[in-house]
Amino acid sequence: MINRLSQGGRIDRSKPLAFEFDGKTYQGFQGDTLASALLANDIRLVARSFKYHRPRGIMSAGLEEPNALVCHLATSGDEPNRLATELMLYDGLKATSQNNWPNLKNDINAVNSLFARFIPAGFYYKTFMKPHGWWHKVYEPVIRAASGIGKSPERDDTSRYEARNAFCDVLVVGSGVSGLMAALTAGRSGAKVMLVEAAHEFGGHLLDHPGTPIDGAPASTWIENTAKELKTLDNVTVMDRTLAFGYYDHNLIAASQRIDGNVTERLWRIRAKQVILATGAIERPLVFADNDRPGVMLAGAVATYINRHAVLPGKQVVVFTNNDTAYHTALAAKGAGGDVTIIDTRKVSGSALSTKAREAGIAIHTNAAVVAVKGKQRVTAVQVGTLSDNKQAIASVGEVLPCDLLAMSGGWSPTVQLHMQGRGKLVWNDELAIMQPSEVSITEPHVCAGSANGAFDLASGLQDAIQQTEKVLQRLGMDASATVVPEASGANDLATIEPVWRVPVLKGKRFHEFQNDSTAEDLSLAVREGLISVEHVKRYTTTGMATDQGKTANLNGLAIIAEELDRAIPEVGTTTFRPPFHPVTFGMLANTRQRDFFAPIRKTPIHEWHEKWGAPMEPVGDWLRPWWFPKDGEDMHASVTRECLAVRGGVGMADASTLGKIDIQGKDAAEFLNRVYTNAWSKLKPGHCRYGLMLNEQGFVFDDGVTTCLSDDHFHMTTTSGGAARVMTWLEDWAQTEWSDLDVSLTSVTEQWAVMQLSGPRARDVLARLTDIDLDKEAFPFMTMREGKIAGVDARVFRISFTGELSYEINVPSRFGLYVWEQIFAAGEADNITPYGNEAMHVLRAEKGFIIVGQDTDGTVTPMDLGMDWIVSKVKPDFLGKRSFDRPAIKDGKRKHLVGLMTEDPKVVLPDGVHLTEQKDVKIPVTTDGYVTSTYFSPVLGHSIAMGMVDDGRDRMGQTLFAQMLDGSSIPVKIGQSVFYDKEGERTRG
Amino acid sequence: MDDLATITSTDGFNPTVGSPLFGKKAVEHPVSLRQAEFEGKVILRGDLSDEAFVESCQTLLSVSLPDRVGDVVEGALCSVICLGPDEWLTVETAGASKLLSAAGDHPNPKQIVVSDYYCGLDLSGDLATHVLQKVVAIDFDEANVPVGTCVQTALHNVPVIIWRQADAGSYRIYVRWSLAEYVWDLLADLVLSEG
Repeated sequence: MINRLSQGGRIDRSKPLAFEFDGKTYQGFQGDTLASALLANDIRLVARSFKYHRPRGIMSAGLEEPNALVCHLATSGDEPNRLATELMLYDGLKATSQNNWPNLKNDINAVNSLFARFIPAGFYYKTFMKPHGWWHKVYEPVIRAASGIGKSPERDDTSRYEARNAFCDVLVVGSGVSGLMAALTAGRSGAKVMLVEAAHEFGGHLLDHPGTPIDGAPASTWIENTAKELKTLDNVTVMDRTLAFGYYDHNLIAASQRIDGNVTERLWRIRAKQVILATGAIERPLVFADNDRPGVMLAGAVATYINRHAVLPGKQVVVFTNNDTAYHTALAAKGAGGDVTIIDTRKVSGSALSTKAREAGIAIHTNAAVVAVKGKQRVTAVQVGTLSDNKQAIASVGEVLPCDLLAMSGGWSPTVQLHMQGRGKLVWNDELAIMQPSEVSITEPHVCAGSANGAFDLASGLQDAIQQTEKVLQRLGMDASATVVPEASGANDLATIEPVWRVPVLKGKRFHEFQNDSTAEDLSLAVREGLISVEHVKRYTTTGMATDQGKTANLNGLAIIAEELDRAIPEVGTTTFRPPFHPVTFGMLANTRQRDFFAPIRKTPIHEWHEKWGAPMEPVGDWLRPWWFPKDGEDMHASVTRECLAVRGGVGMADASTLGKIDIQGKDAAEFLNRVYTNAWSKLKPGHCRYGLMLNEQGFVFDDGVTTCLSDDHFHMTTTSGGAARVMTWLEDWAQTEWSDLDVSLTSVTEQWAVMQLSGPRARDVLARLTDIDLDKEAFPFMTMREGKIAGVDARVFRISFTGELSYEINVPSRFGLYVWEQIFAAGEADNITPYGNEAMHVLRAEKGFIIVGQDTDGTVTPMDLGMDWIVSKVKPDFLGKRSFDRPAIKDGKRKHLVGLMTEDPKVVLPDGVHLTEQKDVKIPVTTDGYVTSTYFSPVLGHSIAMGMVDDGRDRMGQTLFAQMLDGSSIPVKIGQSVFYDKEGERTRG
Repeated sequence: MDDLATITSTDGFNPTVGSPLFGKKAVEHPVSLRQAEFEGKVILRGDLSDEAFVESCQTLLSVSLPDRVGDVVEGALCSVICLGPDEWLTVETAGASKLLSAAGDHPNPKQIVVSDYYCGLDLSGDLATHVLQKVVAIDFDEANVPVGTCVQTALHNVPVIIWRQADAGSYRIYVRWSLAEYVWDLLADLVLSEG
């Protein structure tokens, strides 16, 4: 660890850690990040850039890192694109570099740099225009293969992710001096406070100035004491390694917490009454030639590595700045044993800090700039130049300074991403050359504090934190008087800034946005090409997009665009910041909603029996329904055929518990049904059932089902399984908002009842063995309901049928469902009772031409299209959807009709959804005459059957159409009636 | 037919009674997760401004109907949870079913038996709230959800009624039969991950 200082830092030297980078083993200490450990070992080259594959090193010490993205080979799974600057070191950590081949040092794609002048911003749009057909087959696949950083993990991620919902009066984001002060002020007031900090320890940039006095003690002591007090307050929750990454409506803040333990990462959804954003500031790079070379770092980051990690990343240090803040770094580097030179773009540097630097023996070049950087894979020297009066040109080229570390500072920008996600606005501060939060247009209740609010010096940061906290406490009706401003002093070093947005260049690329390899020249090109809106320039050059989200690139980019447009920076405006502020893992976002808990699963009371039989399950909405019931190694076709024939020839039983069920009560219940169904309900007598078709306002079929009158003011409605919740919501909507004058109450009772469909010519005989209900067809006719006992259990039995056979739908309370099912099955054994699944049910209903809403309808189908005019009342004054029947497109337009379709070859089953044409041979594009909605092989008919929607279908009976197959062939089909079996319905009524 | 007595009583006949959580073992540590015993449950619908309805309910239940959504009134015979301005869930403690069936032909209240519709889960222990906060976006601060009140919310997209019972760390969760196993497995997984 040649760059490790012999003392100092916040690392634990008693805990050495071994880690691997690109297969080579190194040493670090507890408290190191991967970045600090790599720098301690003098590893400069850690990555290749996105577009040009230029060698890149570690530039920062925090979340703003644009270069050092690595793949973390965690034991639980690979994590691509982790920042080396935020990845805490642990013993055995393994990471690899990304975006290179065959290796980091000799990356073959670095050849891109040679053609850099031919691939500026926007070259994709201009270059890959012709030939037109090449885009999908050649250009796009090649570009996609070459682009992107990191590889999707191939190993299963075994990490455990969780979510937590949290609520507080005040959420403080950030634990720098202002964040700690704000949290303490709010905490002492008694408010319920949460403090989240992205780093692994509290203190923020104050940790880089450990000796600075606050209340007469070193800053490090103040941090420690403040954190300690916060942790003792019952009303305060403090969390480190917790990154607030998204600010959403109604003060919902999303944060990602990294944890060591059972859970790897946790998503926090924090709903705060008030939010204090003490998110600090991010240092801006200077935009000069080859400013991306490994060894060029942000000055503040160098101070962080020295003070927190005891790492001086180079011995010959050049500090290049346009403001005084970098002088602290120069002094720290000097104090750590570095040979330091300052190159300052300002003409005069007479501040106390510059005096201190000179006294420390640091040479200062004023009105000077780095005009060239020597060395490719690590900095070896810089060329110094003297600036012209307007700083737009090089007046003279000066000496070459050997160096292995170049620390740059172009000023600091408040971290305003969350503020802007929270609908905050920005205002330009010319003195500090920053965009800072303005107090207007804040719709989400939050404030910014400290350097995030433009208060950069220590005293004003503390003062601002208290003032802003008082403001939010006042909004909450609380008092902040328990806290006084700690004593602190210090100049606002940033106020000395004299911005130089683009440093004149001899040759080389001036990157303003490292993440996407975007240069100052790219911005100039965009403006020259007529893109004057900052949002357009952003998209043309990818400035501040993706993971950067404007952290390091934004203001430099805006300023350069302003210079090109000869406008003031505020006139250019800002781009939009979107969540996440910082990359987060998909695993964390999914948290517990994965694997077995990906989505809710619903099971019927009889599910266990189906599983024991070995029935494959079919998802129907959230439900799992038995698909078919195989016997003796049968495949699906054989099983379904047997099940269908059993129902047609003997008796079958299906689990229909998934049907939606709604209890409707009230003296206006019948009137309510009149309004929501197309047919009439007023005269339905108790004990009688009726099929109903429900339409939406557009007159299109919405749902269907059978509703039974239990008493004059009490009905039992059934809906489709998948549509139950939708129907319930729909009915409640109408009952509560439009027809609140009706006395009607709706209550879902779907799970109250287990439902068994006993169906087939032997159904009556089987049921008779278990019930005291008179099953005689005169006593218990089709479309009626009787109550009685089945196998000793109170039941409602409905004589309705979805198979076209004599059927009983037996409803018993769910806890008796499995028992009654087993009793019926035992009673039917003599008749070879056969369980039938969802697939057989579909075949049986299709043989009868019964529709399934959502399969034979698609939201644009009227009852008339289905040939169901008979269910549309001609005398009712109104019902939902009726008015829309008068629309020309429905009344007079050409409509598709539901028809039956038969193939010439009885064994050919048409594919679902296949399109139908009048001509056998067609050439794409072609207007089709319709399409298939349901298609099966009918065992009882020994012939394939299908239903479909065909233009004017009912007027084309007997006509032959052609089903156009994907392989170019076609199958002739004849149009006919959609009822294929027992057209008179005698079997149902039997 | 629609009275609790006829549904819950089987006239001495004692068939096997099913449960959506059949075979699930109670989890005891660090949070207790158990299936609640079967209870008779009836939804009552009516209008609080209808004196006949209010009087009828009071007579039947021996308690006044709570008038604020989320409030629970516990009586000797049953507990009554206010689910909405015109909707109450009564949960029998003992014999309430008989009382409800005694309503007979009285027009009020509208009754809907939901004994099988809901399955009850009991989650209790010092970390019970902590576990719930992982999957429920409700602030369970006692000021927000006091002991003896309930909330209707979503647990991982599953609609549930959560009733904070005798002490702050004890919850009864009512979930629909079809979703009970999913919710049980999810809570058990979260509880065990705390261990």
